[in-house]
Amino acid sequence: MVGSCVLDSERGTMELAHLARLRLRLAARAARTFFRGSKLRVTVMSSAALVFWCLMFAMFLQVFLFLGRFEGLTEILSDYLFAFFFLALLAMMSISNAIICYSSFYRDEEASFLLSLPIHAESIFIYKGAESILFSAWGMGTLVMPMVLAYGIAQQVPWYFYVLSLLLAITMMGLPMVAGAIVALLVPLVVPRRRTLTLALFLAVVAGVLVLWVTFMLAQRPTVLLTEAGFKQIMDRIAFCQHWALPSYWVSEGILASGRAVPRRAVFLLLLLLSNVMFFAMLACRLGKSLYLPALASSQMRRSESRKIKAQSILDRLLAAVLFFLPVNLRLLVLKDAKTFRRDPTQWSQTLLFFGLLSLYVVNLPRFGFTTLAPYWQNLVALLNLGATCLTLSTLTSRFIYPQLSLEGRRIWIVGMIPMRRSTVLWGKFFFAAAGSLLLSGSLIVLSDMMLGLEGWIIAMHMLVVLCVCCGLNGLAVGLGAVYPNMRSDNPSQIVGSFGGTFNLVCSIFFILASLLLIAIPLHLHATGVLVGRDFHIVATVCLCLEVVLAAVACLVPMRAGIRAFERMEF
Amino acid sequence: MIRLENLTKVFGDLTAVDHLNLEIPPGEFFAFIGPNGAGKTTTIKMIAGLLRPTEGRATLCGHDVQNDYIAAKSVLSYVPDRPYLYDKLTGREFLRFVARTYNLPRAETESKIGELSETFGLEDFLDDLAETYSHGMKQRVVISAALLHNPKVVVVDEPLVGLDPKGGSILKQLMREQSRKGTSIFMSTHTLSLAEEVADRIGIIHRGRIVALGAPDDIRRVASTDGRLEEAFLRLTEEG
Repeated sequence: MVGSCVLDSERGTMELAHLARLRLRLAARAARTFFRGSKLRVTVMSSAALVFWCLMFAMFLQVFLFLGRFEGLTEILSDYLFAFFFLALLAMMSISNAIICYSSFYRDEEASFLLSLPIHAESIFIYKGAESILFSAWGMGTLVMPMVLAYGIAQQVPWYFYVLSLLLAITMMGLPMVAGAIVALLVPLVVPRRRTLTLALFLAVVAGVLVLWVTFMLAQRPTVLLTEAGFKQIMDRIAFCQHWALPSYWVSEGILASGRAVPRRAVFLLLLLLSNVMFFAMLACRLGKSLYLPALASSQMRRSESRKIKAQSILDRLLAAVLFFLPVNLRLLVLKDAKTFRRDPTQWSQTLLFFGLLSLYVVNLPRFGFTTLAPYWQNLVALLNLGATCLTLSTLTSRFIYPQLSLEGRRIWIVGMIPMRRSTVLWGKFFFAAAGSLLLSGSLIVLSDMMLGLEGWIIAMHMLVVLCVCCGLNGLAVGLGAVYPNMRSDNPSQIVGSFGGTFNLVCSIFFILASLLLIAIPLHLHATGVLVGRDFHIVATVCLCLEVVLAAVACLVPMRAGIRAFERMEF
Repeated sequence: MIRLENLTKVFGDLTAVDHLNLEIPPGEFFAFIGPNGAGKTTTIKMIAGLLRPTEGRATLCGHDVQNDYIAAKSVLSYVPDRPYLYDKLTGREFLRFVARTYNLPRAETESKIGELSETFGLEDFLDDLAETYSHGMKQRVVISAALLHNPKVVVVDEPLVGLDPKGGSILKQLMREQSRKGTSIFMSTHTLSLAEEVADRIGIIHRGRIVALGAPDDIRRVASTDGRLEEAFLRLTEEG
């Protein structure tokens, strides 16, 4: 509707209808192929989605039932929780949509194909931009729906709460789509040609702001979290998420208003949101009409510019020196993977972002006064940090390590032709990934444990878990990546979203849960005083031995299967 | 008709195409040859409207590719060197989709698909999903899609890549037929024998500039050789 207004012609509407029919047909065909495919694949992927949804629902239900116990505080806490949740969700979805829109506007072969046909550029812009709504739908289905449903059940809300919440959530999906499309449209025009310099400057500014923020936080009086004053201070700090001008606040406030039997306010906020989404969608279409082709030309221009790299970098020389003990061919393969990682901004920027945020949190740990808490709470926070680090690591191994072999694609014969055993190639990839992971996550855990003031032996136990998790996760990613290669696709997201990618992610999550459980049991029982002295030593030793065995299984089984598959692979 | 006026493309410090002036009248089969990185694909992409010229302009049958791109693309067919098909559509569905973008009536579409299917031997796989096609099969479907709407201008980048000798021979025959019917054909290729065999005129591009233009004999004359076109090409594009 918005598109047709902008195109202002019958032809534009026809083009959009034609493209929408194409997309629907492709989606239906893909769904049919999926459900007619391997039963195992359908079962694993559907069960993974269902289990994830149920876990989210159960977690939210527990949270809302717990909050319901605090008479008088429930409403205030729900207000903060909803406002913060929707602000974070919208921010994350907008960033992700901008990345998705950028690649589908300028990197996608389909866009080039459509542009060679007599179709208006703005129709292609709207069509490609609207594709990213699938991502928003995924976010809504897996996060918003279980949360809203859990709230409704816990608070026993009126029936129209579900209808209005659904409408608010669907309308909300338009915002990140539109924001992402506008950002993706402006980036090639605004960012000058020297991207590396721009990126470096941008990162320097971000780092500067973060340093200032951390300094500001550290300059304030330490807060003890579990006191009334501490609680109020935390609430005050996140009060910004309830600003009236934030669309995320309209969504959260609308949902809560309908749950509190104030449907008029919910409808008002829904219409406010809808009118804003429509306005910005219209603006995006106008911008797309005049800017899409210049932006496309600008992005292609940058890609065509030559990037000369003459001298060998210090990092490569350093890495080559550190890896002196490896056979020459294997060292070359590791160096190749290191160079690829360094020169691919999507890989290092996401790694930096994830671990940067975790580091920021860890540096701030003393601010929350955890060092003064009882061992029970210290242990709990340390385990949560360990869990967060391991889950972040699994996201990175699933996103970057798993598709590595598939991304060799048509160039895989180069790897196959190297005069060395193919198993060595996979082990090379494994050692590179495991060493990198261990360096990042190990440093973070040591830092976190030191900030919490934990004793040396606990830090050592945590480090053993990190080592095991690094080996297990990378063994799974490299091994399963070779068992389920997808040489036809150049798109990492497609490879990660395939059966093998999902299977790897599911296995990684179960492996992490099992690993955490094995360390959590002895440490929790020790912190609560149930297990002490010799009994603790016996249980801890048994659990750590099991931890090592579990990691060995998680690493060696997929690696062996991967090596067998890779050795049989024909190029 | 294709007209390139002072067509220029600059990438940072590199001038990929340098003030190119060229006119290809209706019915002419023009072959565009040059070493790697000479500016062939950049020129083709500017003609197809996929790249914006830094300076100058390209017009197709009088329509400016940048300012009047819908009219320009309505008379154009572009066949890229890497054929693009939707994996989850069959070849027939893809051809129908392309036909609709050119507003071809349904009956005409079906009859044209039948005709091209017979010519290119598509019958055996046209109703299979494109994800099962080989490179040659994809190339045949994409070339068929390019000829569906009787274009007045055909721009084709490396047409023989992936085609078997029979497919190549059919394509050459079909292109000649199209050119006889009045279609301007702009073909970029590295296969010098193909250029010599089918083209009315040949343009050699080197470092973004046309260094020789004319019939094969004219090219040999410019290169001061009476040997093969390959010899003339090497002489005209030698470095230093």
